[in-house]
Amino acid sequence: MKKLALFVLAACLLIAGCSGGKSGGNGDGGASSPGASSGTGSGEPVTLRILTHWDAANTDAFLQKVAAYKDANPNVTIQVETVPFGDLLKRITASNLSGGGADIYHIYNAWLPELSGSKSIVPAPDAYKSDIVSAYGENIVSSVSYNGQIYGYPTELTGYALNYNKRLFEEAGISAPPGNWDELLDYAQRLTKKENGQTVQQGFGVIIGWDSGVVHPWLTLLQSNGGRFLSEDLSTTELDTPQALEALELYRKLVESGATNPEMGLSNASTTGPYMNNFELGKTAMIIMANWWKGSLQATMGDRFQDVATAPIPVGPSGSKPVSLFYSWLYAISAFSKQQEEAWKFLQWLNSPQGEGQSSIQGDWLMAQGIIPSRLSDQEAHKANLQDDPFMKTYVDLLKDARSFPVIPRAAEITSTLQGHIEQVLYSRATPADALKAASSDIQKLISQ
Amino acid sequence: MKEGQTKPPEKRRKKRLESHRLAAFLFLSPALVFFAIFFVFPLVATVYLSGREWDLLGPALEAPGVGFRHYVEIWQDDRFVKALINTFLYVLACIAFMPPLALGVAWMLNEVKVVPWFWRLLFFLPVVTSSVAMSLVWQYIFDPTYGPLNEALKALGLRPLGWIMDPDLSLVSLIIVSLWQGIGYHAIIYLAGLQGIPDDYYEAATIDGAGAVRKFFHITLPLLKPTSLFVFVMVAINAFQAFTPFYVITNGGPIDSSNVLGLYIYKTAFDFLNMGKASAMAVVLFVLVVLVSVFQLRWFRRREEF
Repeated sequence: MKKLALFVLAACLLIAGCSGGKSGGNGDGGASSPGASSGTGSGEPVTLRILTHWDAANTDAFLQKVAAYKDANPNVTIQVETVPFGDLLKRITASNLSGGGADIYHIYNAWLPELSGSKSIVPAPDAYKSDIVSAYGENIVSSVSYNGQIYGYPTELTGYALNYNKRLFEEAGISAPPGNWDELLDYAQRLTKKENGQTVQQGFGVIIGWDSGVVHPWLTLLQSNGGRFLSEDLSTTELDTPQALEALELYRKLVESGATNPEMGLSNASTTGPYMNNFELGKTAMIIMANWWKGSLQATMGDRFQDVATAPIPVGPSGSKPVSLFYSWLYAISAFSKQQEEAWKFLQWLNSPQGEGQSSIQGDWLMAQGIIPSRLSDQEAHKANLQDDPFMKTYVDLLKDARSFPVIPRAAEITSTLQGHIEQVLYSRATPADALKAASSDIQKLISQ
Repeated sequence: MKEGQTKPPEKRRKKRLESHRLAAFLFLSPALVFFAIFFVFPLVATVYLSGREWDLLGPALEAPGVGFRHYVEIWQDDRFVKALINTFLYVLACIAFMPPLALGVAWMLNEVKVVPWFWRLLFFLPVVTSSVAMSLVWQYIFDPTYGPLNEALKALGLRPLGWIMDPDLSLVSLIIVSLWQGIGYHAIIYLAGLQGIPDDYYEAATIDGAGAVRKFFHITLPLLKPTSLFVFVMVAINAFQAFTPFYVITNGGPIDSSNVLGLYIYKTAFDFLNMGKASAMAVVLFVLVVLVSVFQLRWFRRREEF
């Protein structure tokens, strides 16, 4: 009897173990996706699934725009699966474990080391590689590459600029946005209002609780002060420099003067939340933020959006010009997809000009959302819009000197670590010098692992 | 009957017992299969992965072995230590406040005779409401700028607080949410315990001149000991595994002031893609839960002996 019980238990474990072992493996890419069974031969029905983080409205707009592909390729159906940004990487890992998932992943370029290292995505075949190299700027191609391989079609560029509320500036008697840190500190204090000791309007807003939202804006200040996050070869941190200390001292001064109230910076898992509401409602006069939030601001603020203006990152005492930060996204093909050739063909169609001097469908769709397209021909086709739109023009101009957020392994943990140390200063729990010393040591350890 | 054709009674008894055992085992097998797949296998897999360097993306079986390195590493990680301390504070607060409050609510529910079902429903509603939805509501309630809680404080002439955005108050805020959400469940358990105490004891005590307080400490509490044991153990286990409100309301912030083990394990595994280190933390958490549960069982048993 005991033997029988042991045998059944062992069988259970074996079954469970086998299923786990299978799910853990992706080496042969042999797992099937729903579309796989339909085959990829010409004329046979093919379903291409795209996994992304867009919202419902943007997904509908995208599907309407790519309907033309179905006209030319009646056997191909395009499906979009969306998850919140915070769940996107988790969904990809889950897809790997199950050996299935989408054919096309729309991914943040910071994930490239992990996704390429684990062979979850495939490098672009030569034909598509040459198309990408010729159609995009060198820094953009570099941002979707890792270890000498290009992993997909760049989609959007997201940069950072100073956003400010013109109405609040006028009320405070300030005629232009700050160009340097002295002005930034001075204006921020003049734009701050308190009632009964409570901040009802803060001069300069920061984001709390969302790693990139905390780290990226601060890095734009560091870079505009002549500093760098990591060395050129990405092997060491450069947080133990006077420029970094000045950048974090700026945050300390803003908090101590009352011009920045960290409690007004809450963000949620969807990377929106009260920090955004405070700017929309005119309770935050200035904030350094990415261009992607333009659509959200327009939708929420309505007519009051005309109060919003953008300006270059204020330059620090050790800097000579605004140096913003950008990151990019790309369409990459899952190593599990059985329809990789169909997927690459679709991506090439999606990203190619619709005619001589025209934008690609991807470019049109990005512009409709207020996002800068990364393809050079798209930027040229939308030049008038990008230059005429005062909100976007600042971002486009800043891109010339902007640096990409480093594409390195453990980027998420490194960003989260730096976030913690910056927040320590924002909450007056550490001096800038101590915070930078600890950040430098912690991040160096992560880089060296 | 010829000799040799009949089985001796001992043998027959053994065979019958064996067939009963087989039947019992067959009846239990669905539960055993479930237990093996959803408990034993994940536990074994977690221990296995804690000795591997696995990023969740490649094949787990091919992940390089690192021995006990992750178990050493986690103690050098300040964020893990902070999460561990926060977890203990949270567990202690839940153990200290949840059972007495739940018992108080149960006592009131037992006494209220006007539409008793309504009051029970009222206290039980948080238990059956979606944790994510309620966490979002609490996030709004606690918002320092717009939250109704601060508006209420202002209306009372009090100073508004930072709540979830204040590193000194974020954990307290989450403890309040957890108490609000958990009291109903444990109150129903205590209510069942209270209703199981025969009235005779109270009547006899009344005749002997015992007051309400005496009755509570000398009849109610001692007879609720098995219920209390269950409540204390469950409160501790649930508190050790806390996740949803921490993830939704504060995401462990600000500056890790509300980071707890469950959340940090999740972040390490799925955000930092370090499944080996996350598994080592999960094993430590498992050992802690077992130790605390065993301690509680022994503590109650010892008190029962007195």
